Amino acid sequence: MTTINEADLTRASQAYAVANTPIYLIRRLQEDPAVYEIAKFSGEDILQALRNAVRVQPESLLDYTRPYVYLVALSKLPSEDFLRSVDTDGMENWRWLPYMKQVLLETYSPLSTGTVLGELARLAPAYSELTRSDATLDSPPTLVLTD
Amino acid sequence: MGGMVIDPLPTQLALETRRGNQVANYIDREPVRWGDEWQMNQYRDEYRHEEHRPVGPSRKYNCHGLTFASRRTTIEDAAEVLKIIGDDEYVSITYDEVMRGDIVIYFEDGDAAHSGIVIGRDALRVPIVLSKWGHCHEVVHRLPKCPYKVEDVRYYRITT
Repeated sequence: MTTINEADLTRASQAYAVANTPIYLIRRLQEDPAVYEIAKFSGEDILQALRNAVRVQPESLLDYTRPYVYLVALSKLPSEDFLRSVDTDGMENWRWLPYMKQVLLETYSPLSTGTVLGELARLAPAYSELTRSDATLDSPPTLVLTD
Repeated sequence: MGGMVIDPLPTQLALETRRGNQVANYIDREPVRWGDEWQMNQYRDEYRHEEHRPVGPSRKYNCHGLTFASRRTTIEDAAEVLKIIGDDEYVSITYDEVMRGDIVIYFEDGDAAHSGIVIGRDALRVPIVLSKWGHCHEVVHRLPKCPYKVEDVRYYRITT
């Protein structure tokens, strides 16, 4: 594999398609060989690929999957700095990204992922806690059409 | 001339447990995306002996939304599922006790990764489950015949 875009994301897409919770997706991506292939690239390259991936208007399942794959790949680097620097603001199309970033940071281990895997659910904050500001039952914003 | 006011459809429903606690939920009303149908068909092929209902793909509800919210919305936080189990007074039952109407939750490292409704048992007494696979479709499947791990499957029933 000479570029990140050549990574086979078939397995990742399959996982994304049936993911009911973000933790499930993290776990499946952490088991995906493609993520480890991508993690062989530099942090700058992966970060740039992530930025490019969220810049496009997603049209396909792959478009929706890609940013999550790159995020988990960043968590496999020897330093957490690149993962920490991911800007997850305004990610309407990738709603799980901010939560997944936080979980990956809280469970980050530069040495091994094996022990961390089993700790995911225990260490991870509740998804609804992190998205509480979005999850209120306040009236939705009113759309006003003027002449 | 005054503007016309349109209330957009909500992205969350007022969904409460028996104790009156709100359950965080989300409705993604975006249309089917390119690849969704293809992925769904991949699973139809992979699990060809299960019964694939002619519904979906849909992001409006997921498995937990099917099991606990009548297909109206998506519940994607495992903590909310556990809240429902507690607040709604579900009781844990054993594999041998499982019968139609009970619910099943597939746990992975404590995360409620998947859930469904038991609709029967096959000739070998393996529970048959109705569930929805992420934003793909609904499937009537034997308990282990799905893309979720079965090492920690738990069964629940509301008795009162």
